[in-house]
Amino acid sequence: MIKKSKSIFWHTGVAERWKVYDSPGRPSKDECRLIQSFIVQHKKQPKVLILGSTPEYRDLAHTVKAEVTCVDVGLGMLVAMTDFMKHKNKADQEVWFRSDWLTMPVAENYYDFVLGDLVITNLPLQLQPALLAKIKSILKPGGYFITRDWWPPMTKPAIEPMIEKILESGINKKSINVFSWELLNLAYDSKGKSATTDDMYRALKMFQQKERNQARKRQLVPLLKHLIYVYPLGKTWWVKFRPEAEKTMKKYFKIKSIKHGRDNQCAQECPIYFLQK
Amino acid sequence: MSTFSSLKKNEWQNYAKTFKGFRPPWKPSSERITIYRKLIKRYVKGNKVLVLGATPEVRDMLARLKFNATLIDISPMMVKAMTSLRRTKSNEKIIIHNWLTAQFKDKFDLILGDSVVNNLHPKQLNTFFKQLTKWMAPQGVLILQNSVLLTPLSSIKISLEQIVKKIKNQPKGYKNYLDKAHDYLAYWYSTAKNHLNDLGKLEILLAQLYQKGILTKKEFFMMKMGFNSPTIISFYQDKEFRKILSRHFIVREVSEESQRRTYKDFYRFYVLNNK
Repeated sequence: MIKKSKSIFWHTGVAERWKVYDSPGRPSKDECRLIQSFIVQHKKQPKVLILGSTPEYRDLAHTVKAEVTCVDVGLGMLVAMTDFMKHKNKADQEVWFRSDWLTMPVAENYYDFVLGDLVITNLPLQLQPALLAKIKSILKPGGYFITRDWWPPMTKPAIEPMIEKILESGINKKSINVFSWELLNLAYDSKGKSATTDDMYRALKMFQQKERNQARKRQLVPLLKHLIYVYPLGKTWWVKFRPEAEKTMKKYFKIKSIKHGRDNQCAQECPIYFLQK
Repeated sequence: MSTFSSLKKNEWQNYAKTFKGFRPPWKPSSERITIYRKLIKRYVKGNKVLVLGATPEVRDMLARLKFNATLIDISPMMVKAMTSLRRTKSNEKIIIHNWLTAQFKDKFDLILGDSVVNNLHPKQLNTFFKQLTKWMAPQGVLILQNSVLLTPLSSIKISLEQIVKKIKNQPKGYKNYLDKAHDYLAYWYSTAKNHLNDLGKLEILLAQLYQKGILTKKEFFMMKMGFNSPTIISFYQDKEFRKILSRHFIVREVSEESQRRTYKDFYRFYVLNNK
């Protein structure tokens, strides 16, 4: 219960931090282009439901002249994320549901596409099948669930090269996002099939404490500060290795395609699944 | 979204900031809430409720009654503002959508709307009621509280000149908020055309008289309600409204809010079942 409420609190701060996020934390231009062209190829003026308030997905849905519905647990989030949209004026035409995804009161067999950005990993493992079942129920026959996902690493990456890389390039929006993602991979617990921001922070903190080079130790202080701002404590993602994750997906959908963006370093770990009902 | 719906959305976006300052009859009185509770106890069998609009008092009442509520409103700003005025917390679902085009998976045991029909264009009524019939469960109940004209128009008809005269000669007659509201409503009904009128019009006219020096500051502020203009509201005679309702529903009960003149002349609760 505490974890759940913490997680919701974490979620409400995303809008504030959105400006500091970059891919892979939010969808890249190329990833959006892949999704947009897929939608255009399959349906004119589609009905699109977006899980969450991701401004990039809302923009691309408006670009394809879709009827757009957004479902988010926070109304404030939907309002705040509108500011990050290119087509802000189109937000007026959207339908918003403040609801959790598992019980959203939307019509069944209604949507051509459901879009979600790293949505499955937001739910504990035992709830993930229920989410997929719910999405399937609201899609029209033949409709698609398009989601960016996360393939966790089979072997734990080492922390030193990550730190070398970011200290060399300097802390900027791009580098801190890539660094955070790499650290998330490091924090992934393959037994518990989860990763937490607490573990990300702990890993970096421990490294800093063990560091003997005082100059480098000092350099790590701003990195810790940036990390905790971009990924505050209290958030958990639940993710299975690829074969297991796809096994669950296949219970509800046909995996029609898996694509990767080409404009960000971590795109190979963030596949875009095109799942057909 | 139709032009009228957009107009109403903008209106309510503006009211999000000022609604807190309004008093009954513009928002539910404790008596109105008690009547809702009685009607719900009497007629509702089931737990699923759809609230039309974001009225915080109604949502608080439903939360206390432990209903599983879903709210539908066209303006996210209004919902945010109204949610901040709530006294109880609940896990209600919120839908930002137009009442005229929304589609639901669920059927509701109760649909409740506080002064919602007044916010619709007369041409939208048929579509709106058809929507409600679709959303209601077979034994579902619709409770609408609405402003309707219950006495002949001639008996309440009032002009701007008469209001100004009353302000000057009988200011005590406007001491009570409900009496002021009565004449706002009376003026609104008296000057409406094609079932529509601007509820904020009287306040604009009074402000002009104040600027011209015809009304004193004290007199103007005594009458000020805080309406934005335009606040386009639709109105119906009670008989006419029941006739429209009976095309879609069975009218189970029509209740009065209280014996106060304002409520007696202008407000009713309608309890309805699907045909």
